[in-house]
Amino acid sequence: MSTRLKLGALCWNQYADWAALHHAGVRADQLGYDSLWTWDHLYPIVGSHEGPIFEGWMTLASWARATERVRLGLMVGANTFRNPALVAKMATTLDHISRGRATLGIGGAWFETEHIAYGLEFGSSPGERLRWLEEAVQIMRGMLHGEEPSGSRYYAACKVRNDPPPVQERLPILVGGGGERRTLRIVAQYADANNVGGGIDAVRRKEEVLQRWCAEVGRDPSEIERTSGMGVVVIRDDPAEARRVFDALFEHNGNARPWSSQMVGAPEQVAEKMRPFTELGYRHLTIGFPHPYDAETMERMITDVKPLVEAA
Amino acid sequence: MTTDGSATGEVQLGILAWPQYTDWASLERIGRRVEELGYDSLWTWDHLYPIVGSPKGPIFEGWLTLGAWAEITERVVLGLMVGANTFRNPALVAKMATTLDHSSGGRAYLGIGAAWFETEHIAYGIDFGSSVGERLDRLDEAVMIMRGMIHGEEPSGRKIYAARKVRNDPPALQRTLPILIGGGGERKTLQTTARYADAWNIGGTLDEVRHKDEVLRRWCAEVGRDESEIERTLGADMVVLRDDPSEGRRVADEISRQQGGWKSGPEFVGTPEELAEKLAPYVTLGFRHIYFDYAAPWDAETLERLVGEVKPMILDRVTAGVGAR
Repeated sequence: MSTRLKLGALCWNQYADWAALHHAGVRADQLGYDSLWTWDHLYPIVGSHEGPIFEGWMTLASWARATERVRLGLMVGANTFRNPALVAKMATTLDHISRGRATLGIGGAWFETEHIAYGLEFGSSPGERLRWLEEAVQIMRGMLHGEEPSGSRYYAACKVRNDPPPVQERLPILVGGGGERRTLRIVAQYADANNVGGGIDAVRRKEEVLQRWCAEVGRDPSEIERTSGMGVVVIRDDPAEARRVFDALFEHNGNARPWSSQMVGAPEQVAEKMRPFTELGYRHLTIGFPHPYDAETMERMITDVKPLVEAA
Repeated sequence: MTTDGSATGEVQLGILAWPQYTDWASLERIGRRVEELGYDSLWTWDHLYPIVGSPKGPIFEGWLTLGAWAEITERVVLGLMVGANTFRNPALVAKMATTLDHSSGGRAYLGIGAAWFETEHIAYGIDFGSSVGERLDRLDEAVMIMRGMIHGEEPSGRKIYAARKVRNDPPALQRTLPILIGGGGERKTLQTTARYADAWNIGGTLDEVRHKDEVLRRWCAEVGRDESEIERTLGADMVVLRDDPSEGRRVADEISRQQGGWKSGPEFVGTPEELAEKLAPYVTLGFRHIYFDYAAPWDAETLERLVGEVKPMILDRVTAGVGAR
């Protein structure tokens, strides 16, 4: 049995120069990635926070005109940064610019440092931010569907119109996160896609919880696309060389401590680790590419790893 | 004679392409066309509902429009005319402008104003404040933060914004990414402009503009700013150029119809000579960067003749005026 696998390229917008970040997006499109993502952060989140990073929406706007086929979104947008109705408007404009390739990625936000520096309201707890997220997603969902939604407790939106409507009949909302009590319920109620990370065991557990929430709220779980982040991948035939490249990526990214348990090695080893995800129904997997966007890995994920996973 | 530099023989023209009552393909095409024709600047609004004609109509978001234009143009400077300060956290706006500066190869302006269109604030649930004065106080502090970030400092908010030693990294590509403030409020807006802005936009009759410029100069003197550092831009409204007046009116009516039933319609309908005659005195006054509103159905003749005929005519008149003194 073969499985169609979608691959996403999450090009980190930190510790990069613009030309390289721009080119990485163009390259992902040329190579045949299905989706292209970047972060929504104002300070670097890996390595030293005192380093360069580009703004996410402006990066997407540029990529939208520089690419032809790939889908585009934030993995994921920080709900605390902007008014949610404005975000729906931005996503809709991106959908027009890209001729129907936008995904509205959104999450509760978590990185307190950038909120303090920028003077953005962080709330008092993850629970509070998730209550904000839920109401925000309701407003976004309504706007993208051509309704005229209003806020209830947290947002003051009042019968807000989104005109023009998106190009896509249904501009997908991807909610990031695997919080079991709230986030996955929000996914079940409102989202078109969900992204979770944390490795196969965590994802397996989240999947069960999501299924339960879908049953509870009466949602057909097959309507929700499951995506998972694969962390940082480096492909080389020589394991030592793969490790050297991997360590160099993290050193370059603000002298970060290299992440553990990443997919570093030959194509077959990487494919081996991805298969359990596709078997679980997570058929859209996102690969993190830190600057300088290792060209060999970007290419061989498509040419070598993808066929191996699909042939399984 | 003032030392406004009008004798240097330079005048820059810009187009503010309305993002309302159009489709994306057209808006994008116009951005490219403006550059091809040799304009210096390309602007759009920052509004969430149409502001001309019925507010129940289509409009695109401003920053993403700029981001797309940055990708498909190479030479024109790009900005919002002007950004609504109420819509977004000001430090985030400085970050967006900086990213636009990188994506455009150093062509970004950060256009900003206090915001005024209550309808869109109510619909989107954006805090409109209780008065113009309150919004102008916010603008002043916002621009202080933006300027600090753009200058590589680590500014903090004072009373209104909670920014705390906020870093803007990477810095803008331009040594000074210009901050353009729109508006003519004499007590607050012009004071904020004198303190923090690199460019200032105003419109109105020659007498009004002259008066506002005098007020700005007084504020500059008061706060110790060299007024010549501030670029003056003039909003010259929407014009329709035709040699035949009835044909001009027909084109203007077509624009009004398409723009949500815009009652008053384009402000100027006439010949290139008439327009140059009207605008030359502003240039002499020091407003050497003039932009025109431009909207669907995007009258091609006007766009071509503005830069092809009106611009040299303005230059001739300004040069002749200076020579006569």
